[in-house]
Amino acid sequence: MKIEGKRNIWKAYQKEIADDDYYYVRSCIRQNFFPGSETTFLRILREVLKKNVYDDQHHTTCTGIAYHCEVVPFETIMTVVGRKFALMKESGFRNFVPSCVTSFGLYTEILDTWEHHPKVEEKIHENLKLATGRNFNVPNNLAHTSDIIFKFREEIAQQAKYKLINKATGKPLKVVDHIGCHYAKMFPAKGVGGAEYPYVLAGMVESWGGEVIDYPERRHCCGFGFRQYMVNANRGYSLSASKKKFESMEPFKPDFIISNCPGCGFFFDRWQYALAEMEGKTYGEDGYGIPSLTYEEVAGLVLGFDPWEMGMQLHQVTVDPLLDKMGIAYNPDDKFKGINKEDLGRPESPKNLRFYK
Amino acid sequence: MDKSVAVIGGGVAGIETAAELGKLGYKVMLFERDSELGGNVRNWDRLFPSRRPAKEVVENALASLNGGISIYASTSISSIKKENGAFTIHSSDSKQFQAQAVVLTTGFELFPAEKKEEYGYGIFENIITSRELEKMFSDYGKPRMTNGKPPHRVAFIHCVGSRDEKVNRPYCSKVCCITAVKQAIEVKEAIPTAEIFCFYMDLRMFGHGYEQLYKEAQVKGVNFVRGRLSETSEAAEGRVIIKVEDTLASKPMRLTTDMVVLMVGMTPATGTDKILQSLGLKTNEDGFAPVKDVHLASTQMGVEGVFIAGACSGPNNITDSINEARSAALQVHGYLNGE
Amino acid sequence: MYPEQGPVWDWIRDNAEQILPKVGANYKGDGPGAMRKIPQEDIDELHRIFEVSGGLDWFNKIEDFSAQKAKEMGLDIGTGKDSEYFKEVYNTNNQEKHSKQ
Repeated sequence: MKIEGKRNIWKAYQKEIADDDYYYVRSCIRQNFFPGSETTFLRILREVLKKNVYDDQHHTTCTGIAYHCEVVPFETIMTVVGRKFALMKESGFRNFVPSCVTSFGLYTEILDTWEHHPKVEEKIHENLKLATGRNFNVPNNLAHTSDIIFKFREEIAQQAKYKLINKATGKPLKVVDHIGCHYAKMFPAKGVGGAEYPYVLAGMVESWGGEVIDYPERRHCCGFGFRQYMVNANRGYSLSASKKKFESMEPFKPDFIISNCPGCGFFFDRWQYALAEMEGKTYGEDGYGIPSLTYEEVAGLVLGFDPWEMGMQLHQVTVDPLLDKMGIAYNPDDKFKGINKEDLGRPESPKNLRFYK
Repeated sequence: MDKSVAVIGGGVAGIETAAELGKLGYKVMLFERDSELGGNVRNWDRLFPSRRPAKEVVENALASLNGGISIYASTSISSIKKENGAFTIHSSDSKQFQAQAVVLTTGFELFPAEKKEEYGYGIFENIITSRELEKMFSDYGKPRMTNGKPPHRVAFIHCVGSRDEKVNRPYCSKVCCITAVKQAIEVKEAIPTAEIFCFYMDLRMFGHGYEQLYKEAQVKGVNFVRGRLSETSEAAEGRVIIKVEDTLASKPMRLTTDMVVLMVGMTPATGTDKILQSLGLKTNEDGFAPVKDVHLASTQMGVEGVFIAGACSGPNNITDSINEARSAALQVHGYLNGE
Repeated sequence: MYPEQGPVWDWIRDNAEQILPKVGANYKGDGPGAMRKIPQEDIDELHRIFEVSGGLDWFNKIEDFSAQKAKEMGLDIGTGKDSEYFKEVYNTNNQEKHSKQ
């Protein structure tokens, strides 16, 4: 591998990322499955990086999942997005920052459509005015939340309490970085590093002391795919795409997977469980599976945030062995306690995927 | 005779044009941006269809240059202006030359394979271009992996940077298919136990002897698979995993190979568009220099007194480039004699 | 419906009120935050957007054709998760009709 070749490509794909005053819109999937990650993102931006972020309660789903399942037509979703832009305009902010990668892909797609077909944008203005009385402007800057963390990765590294290394051996952790398809595969110029060798997560891992591993199925989709997941009958297709990736990454012995898409991270977590129960096969060490972390969680760990406050106990593939490997100080007894330290019992253990020590 | 002609580009087309004009008694200025004449053919080992050494063609061409020809090597031409029926040629180091006619023979460059990012050129080991394979044959007589060992499974990928809208090169580069067939045979002869694959879209065997070479390749055991490469990745020991499709079997394929050879296409030589601009001409839709009439005046250009030959106007092979060069020389002769 | 969620999800669901605030969510709450209650006036705007832009028409079309198909298949269209038709579409994998082998 000639890393210089990759660096040249990364240099060619740079994008403008605003440096403050962000209008934040949440992700349906991230909120529901890893809400702690969204909390962590806001915490990092406000407390660590001292940035100005507006968390609007009035915005709604972008309806992207429904759009990709063809249940919501393009004109409707464009109008819903127009409403979000209108809310942003009213808030006085101009830099749009979505938490979801599918949303990011969607906003990029919509902005590109309006750029090439201004009459379509006019229609959306009309629709929105008719439905809600609102007016919108397109954002000055559109960046995904992972782009923001990427932009400030060095600042985070400077304040880091931990590095992405194996405490016992001192060696960098081996990390699989997975980028959501909607981040750059449709508009490579809108993703840091382009579509073939994306850099947004690799940059974070490198700055925080880890080592990114390249494996043959690195570019492969995780399989979420909306349509093939939505009905139970089609879900095997979704699962098989993730399985292909796990089989491909296994020989490289990754210590964890980092992803920027809410769906991908969720699926790497849950499909390992499903595969273990269906086929008895586990990936990673000692039957625990390969932990699938969000980039917010990785940033938070590196900064020394408490893993349970970040919601890392909500993963089906346990993160405890990784925390031990990194030498993170945490209280294992607090893992399944409530907000007031009340005892909430603990989840049942899966049959084949090792969940408890 | 006091009439002078400027020939821009010292590859085989430029050399032949200069040689013919020299024989006709004109003063010729032959400009070449490299330090040596010979152009792209210098970088080739053996030529299709006969597999004769490329050196012979270059040496033959150079031998026909006579004393009336002034060679300006390491001289890059930046613009040409027509004034009062004559031409002022400007070099990029601010020298000027006068001529009564100009022949453009700036030729081509190879498509930069790193632009097809997913092919991993410049990133993974043992992914080379067709030209780099020729150099291996010249230097070692056989292909060699980066670890010094001979490859036992080689995949040739046709149409890299040709017939590809994604990299803005929709045209066919004409000679890559026959080059791949030739190189496949050469690899097989050098390493008889090697398994060779050619992944193609269509096989363009248009010239004399080409179909026969294609048959020879098949008889020698080269596997021809109709399908495109989607991506490469790295396996242990620098081997390359390729993902391709076999359209005739309707199946995707994944193969671990020792070496991948990218048949890179032809792309207009850098700087040709600036020269065209200075003459008030635009490139054609493929980015190459436009000819006056594709059937009846293919060595003339839209400006009187400016002629053209070789791959400057589009992908071309050596035979036709040399023929065009000789034709252009005759056209220049006619022009300078008031025809 | 989603067996792949795993036992951790059951635990989260059973203990939502205590565990979600711990990770900073504003579960079913007013104001900003993860998993908040979306204010009714925002939902109403969304509904009007669907009306104006053809989204609602599209939903109705899907429902109408689904009812037709259910009748064809001899299934009860019903409503929601208890619909016989929905259960069939959701669960039955008829890949033998779609693959080469």
